[in-house]
Amino acid sequence: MKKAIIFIISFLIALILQITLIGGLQIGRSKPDFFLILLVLWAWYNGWREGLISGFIIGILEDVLFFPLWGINAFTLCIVGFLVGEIREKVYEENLILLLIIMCSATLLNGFLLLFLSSIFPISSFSQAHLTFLILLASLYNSLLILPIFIVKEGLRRR
Amino acid sequence: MGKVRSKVFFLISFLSISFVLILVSNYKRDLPIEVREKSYLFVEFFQSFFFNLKTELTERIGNIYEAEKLRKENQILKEKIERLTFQEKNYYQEILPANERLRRMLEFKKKQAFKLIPVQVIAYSPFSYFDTIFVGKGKEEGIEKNMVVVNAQGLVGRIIEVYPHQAKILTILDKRSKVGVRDESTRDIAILQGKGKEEKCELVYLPNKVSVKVSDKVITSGLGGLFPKGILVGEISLIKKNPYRLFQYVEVTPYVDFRKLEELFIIKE
Repeated sequence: MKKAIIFIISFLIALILQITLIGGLQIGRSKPDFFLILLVLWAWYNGWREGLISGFIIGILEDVLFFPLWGINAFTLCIVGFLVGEIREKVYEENLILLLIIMCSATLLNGFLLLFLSSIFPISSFSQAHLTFLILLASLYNSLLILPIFIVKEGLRRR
Repeated sequence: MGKVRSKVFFLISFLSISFVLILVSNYKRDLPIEVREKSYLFVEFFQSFFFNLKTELTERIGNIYEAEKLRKENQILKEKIERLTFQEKNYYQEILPANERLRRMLEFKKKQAFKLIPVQVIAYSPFSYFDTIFVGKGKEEGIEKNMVVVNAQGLVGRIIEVYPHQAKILTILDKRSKVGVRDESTRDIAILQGKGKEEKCELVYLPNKVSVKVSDKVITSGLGGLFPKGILVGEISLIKKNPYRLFQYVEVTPYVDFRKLEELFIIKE
């Protein structure tokens, strides 16, 4: 129950950040994805099962709130959440560098899965080449943003 | 082995549900939009709240810095008003009735001005995948789907989703946007499509034999009924002709600076 409340609050914070601060945080045309950051952190600390379920929930909510098709983000984030949780279960070390690499890879995987799905079910307004550029930029951006979030989270955990 | 099977089973189940949802919403494309239009109150609340907060803070900080500048500006405007008042009393009094008489004589049909609803940009699309903007007026303020959005520089786009107090605009930069346009000097018609790239659009279906030039102005043609005739769109910035192709490649740079959108107008009539 406590976990569910923490998840809901975290989702609301990610939502607020995504819809309000995003204009100011834009680099080029790339925007950070706070939902993806939340999912990676959640799956990292809670394993594949919760990674998968939270990926599905976050994805569905993203789809309903912002996307022209339902299920697109649910599909990609399920895979991302599952894989991040699965990798975490095989790594026993608390390592920030590893988390940065995971965040970067998760953004790339999510982006390219979305790119693949959008070639079958057109959803995006951008050309594939431009989207690839945005995904690469976003992977760096999300990785940088996970740093302060990780530090704050570790600080709270130690207290 | 059983654990691996359970993992695979879980993953496939969730992926299957997601895929079914994709197929259903792809089959009924209007369904996600209809549901969002009815249930957007939650996001709308956050967007409005934080936008108002940001505006309030910016205004308060800005007021401190702007006071001196405004004083000087006020002085200049006062002088300008006096000059215009003088002209109005002494000069326009004569030419306005003369102009009106001439218009009547020529049976000049007065061009109907558009009825404009001022709106403010409150948010950009939260994701990098779309070129959409949110404005702070919606159904309750008389905004409807497919209304055309402009600013002082020219055409911005059209409304694609309407919520109670917000609306979503598809800009002309978006690849999904298509606008009937005309080259102002040659009068050739074409379709303007977003390129899905930085601040550029493209004229599609313009035959090779048509002789448009770089820096020609592009305006809306009024054909198709969605966009009114004569709205400035942009100017031609690049032309590439290939003799083996039927149509030429024409790139248009919009007049509107999409990075600095603040005040917009929605055309009501």
